Amino acid sequence: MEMWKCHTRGQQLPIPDEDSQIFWEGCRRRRLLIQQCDSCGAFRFPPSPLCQVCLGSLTTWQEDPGQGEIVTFCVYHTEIAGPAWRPYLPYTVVVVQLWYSGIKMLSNLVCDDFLLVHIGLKVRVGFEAVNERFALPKFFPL
Amino acid sequence: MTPVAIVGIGESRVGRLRGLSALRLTLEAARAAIQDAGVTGSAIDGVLTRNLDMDVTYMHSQLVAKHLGLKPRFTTDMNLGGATAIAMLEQAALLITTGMCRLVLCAYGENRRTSWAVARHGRIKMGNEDFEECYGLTWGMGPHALAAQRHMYMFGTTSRQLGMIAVAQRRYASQNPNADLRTPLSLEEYERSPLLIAPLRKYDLAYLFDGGAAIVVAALPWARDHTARPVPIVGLGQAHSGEHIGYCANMVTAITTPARQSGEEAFRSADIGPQDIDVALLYDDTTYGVLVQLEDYGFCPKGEGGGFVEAGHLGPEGALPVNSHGGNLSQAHLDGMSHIVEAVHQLRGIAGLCQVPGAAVALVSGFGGVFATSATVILATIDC
Repeated sequence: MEMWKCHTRGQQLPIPDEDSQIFWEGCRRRRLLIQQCDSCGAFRFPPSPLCQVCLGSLTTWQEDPGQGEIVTFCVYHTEIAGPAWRPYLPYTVVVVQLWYSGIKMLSNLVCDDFLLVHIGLKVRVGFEAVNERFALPKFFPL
Repeated sequence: MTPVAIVGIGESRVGRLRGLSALRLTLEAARAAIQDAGVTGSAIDGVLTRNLDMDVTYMHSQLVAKHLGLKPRFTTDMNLGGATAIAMLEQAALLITTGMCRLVLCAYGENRRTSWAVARHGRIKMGNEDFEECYGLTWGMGPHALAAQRHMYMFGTTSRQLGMIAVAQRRYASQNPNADLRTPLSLEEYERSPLLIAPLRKYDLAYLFDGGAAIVVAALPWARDHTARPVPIVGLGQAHSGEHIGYCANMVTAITTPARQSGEEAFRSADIGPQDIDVALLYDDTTYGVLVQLEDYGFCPKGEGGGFVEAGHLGPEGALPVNSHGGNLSQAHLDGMSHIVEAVHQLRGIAGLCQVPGAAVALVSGFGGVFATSATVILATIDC
């Protein structure tokens, strides 16, 4: 895999910043919190300082029930993301569009049989604790 | 506006060059380009460089100028990922047409193949990586696999069709003495090769290189008086999707990339259309990147890229030779610099066995981030 060196060396955990810490704290408490602009109502993700529709800076964190469908996916058969990923092969990276907020979120599909994955598959969020401080939102077939 | 032209090109050694710094490779290429232009360093009054992904360097363009003994009037560092090469040409054209500069050096060098992990001065932050890396998504090729999957779902595009792009480019590379991967590749071998990031296989993906390339740009009237083989720039375009590289979820499902707008601008400024292109050098992180650009530049309608490839248009005998040097996939991945160098070779008629007979109009594309930025240049040695 030498030839395809990538940025990811291990299972890189997020480093919460002023924009994302509420999101990650929500995940730790098993709630999927998405920013909604107080001025124009647009949802946005990933967390950011300004609304990209109206440049408003006031937001409310709304809980998304976390159901939606897969709009695309890919399956990693190699440890191109680093040796830390070897035990998880093959693993599936999905883009999920959430029905409530409409945002698209990148994640993993957690599923025993990766052959089940397809575009249009309905999924629900679940939270996978990584350590005491972090849980990652992942998706399961609905 | 003053017309501008490429007047010099240069390349460094490329491949696996452990121990050679990105700076050295940049300087090797820059020296070759200045010599090819037939000018002295003191004539260069603009220096543009691509800042590095590794060893991010303070005022990089000035460092490069210093090592070349230049005292330019204008320098800047640029980084639009795989669109940087053409964005540098665009910036050079602006500097010349506004009278700010007369001769602009655009220089590039990287040693990511062997030094990617040497984080002496850190590495560049890739967008919203906090929302990607924890899921094992890798930069570049992972998002291309996501986009290819969506394209297959929407339009019935097949892995085999992507394979035909890899095979066509390898056919060119096998004739190019400067190509890294010259062993012929058959479609059967492609189909037997491992799925690395399904639906993409080993031969769908370009890998990283050590190497440098550089270009010198000047005003066309000056170039005609002072240099041997100027290649005029007749069209330029640039467009951005408004999505940053890192958080790719929106772009990988959008199907249409900024190449559409970037191409329309370039064609409009050149006053020609896709049918007038003799050879296309399309930025190729992956085979899918080529396929989607065939559609977005209007070489075929949206959704018909797979069929277009299958009809055999891309290869040496095809209607639209694409990546006649082998591209990132088979020649050398220098962030699109080698695509410009190849276009100049083609239009000067010195592309050797890869020469497209009578090539007079070339389109070169750059793709930065994950379908985030597209830059297009059209070069022509005839009046369009």
